[in-house]
Amino acid sequence: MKQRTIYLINIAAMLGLLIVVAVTVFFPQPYEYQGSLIEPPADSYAFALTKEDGTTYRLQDQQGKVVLIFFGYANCPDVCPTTLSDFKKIQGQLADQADQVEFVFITIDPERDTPQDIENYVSAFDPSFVGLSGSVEELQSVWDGYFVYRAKVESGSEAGYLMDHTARVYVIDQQGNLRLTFPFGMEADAMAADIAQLVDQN
Amino acid sequence: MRRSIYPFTASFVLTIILVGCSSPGELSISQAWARPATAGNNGAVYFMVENPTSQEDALINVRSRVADAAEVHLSIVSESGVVSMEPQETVHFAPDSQVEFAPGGLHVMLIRLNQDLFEGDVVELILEFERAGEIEIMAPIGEP
Repeated sequence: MKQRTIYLINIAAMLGLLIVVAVTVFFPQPYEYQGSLIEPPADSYAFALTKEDGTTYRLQDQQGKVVLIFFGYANCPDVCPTTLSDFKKIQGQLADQADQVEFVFITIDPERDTPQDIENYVSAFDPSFVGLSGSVEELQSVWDGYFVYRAKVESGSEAGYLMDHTARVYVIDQQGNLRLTFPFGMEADAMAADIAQLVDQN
Repeated sequence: MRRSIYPFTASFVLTIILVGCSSPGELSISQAWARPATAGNNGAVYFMVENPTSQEDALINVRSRVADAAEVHLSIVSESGVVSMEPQETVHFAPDSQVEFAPGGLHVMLIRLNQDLFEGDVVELILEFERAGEIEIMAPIGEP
């Protein structure tokens, strides 16, 4: 009698284990994004800005691609180059998926940054990166559209005024929705993994 | 046009001499590197300061020939994700401490570069400390 109980317990345990294995294999866990996932995806602000070569860059023309957007300024020596360097690392890690991803840098300092300045600044990291400026009026709607904070700070630096600014990376999915944001300081590997997942989904 | 190897050799020899000079027990700089940047723009240099002495020291001045000016700045990222940069008059180093100058934190800002900073070259930087005096470093250009 006692032996039979043990036998039944063993059978039950083995069946239980089998079910766990089957569930794990046939129903894999959904990918867990490491950035801040926006659920449900929000409409992104569809901006259009004139590039240094005179052509217009429209966000809506990028549908079908994942677009990474960062707001910064050309005089910024630390946080902005660090992010652009991360963009370069992400591009490298994505390898053959990289052509489905756009990297965009929009100025928050149009008083100093001409479209040419921004283009030169970002293309030093990679010629495929897009650098955008415009008039304050044009850009104001873009900053507002992404809730970007910006403020001029007279710091007494030889560099002139400095800018406080939102340092998040905004990720627009292939349908043109704002899908993710990455905080400053997130590892490039982790950002690349999230982007690869978004690219794979389509 | 042939690029002279002389500046590179000279800086290499100088680095060896400088490294050789710092004996254990003195304030020292290590792991220096500079971000590649283009002339006219600003640059940043990062490094580790080690103060193994029993006395506090302070970084009071920085300068470099490659830029119009050099300043120590601190980037601060707020909880809401806003970054601000604050110039630092002095940076203090407690006895027996290590302070890292790293992206998103303390850095030397090179203002209005008078030359391109190409990956693989070096940037010469002079750091002036209250106690340790002037320390010259050669920061390789490019992320480690």
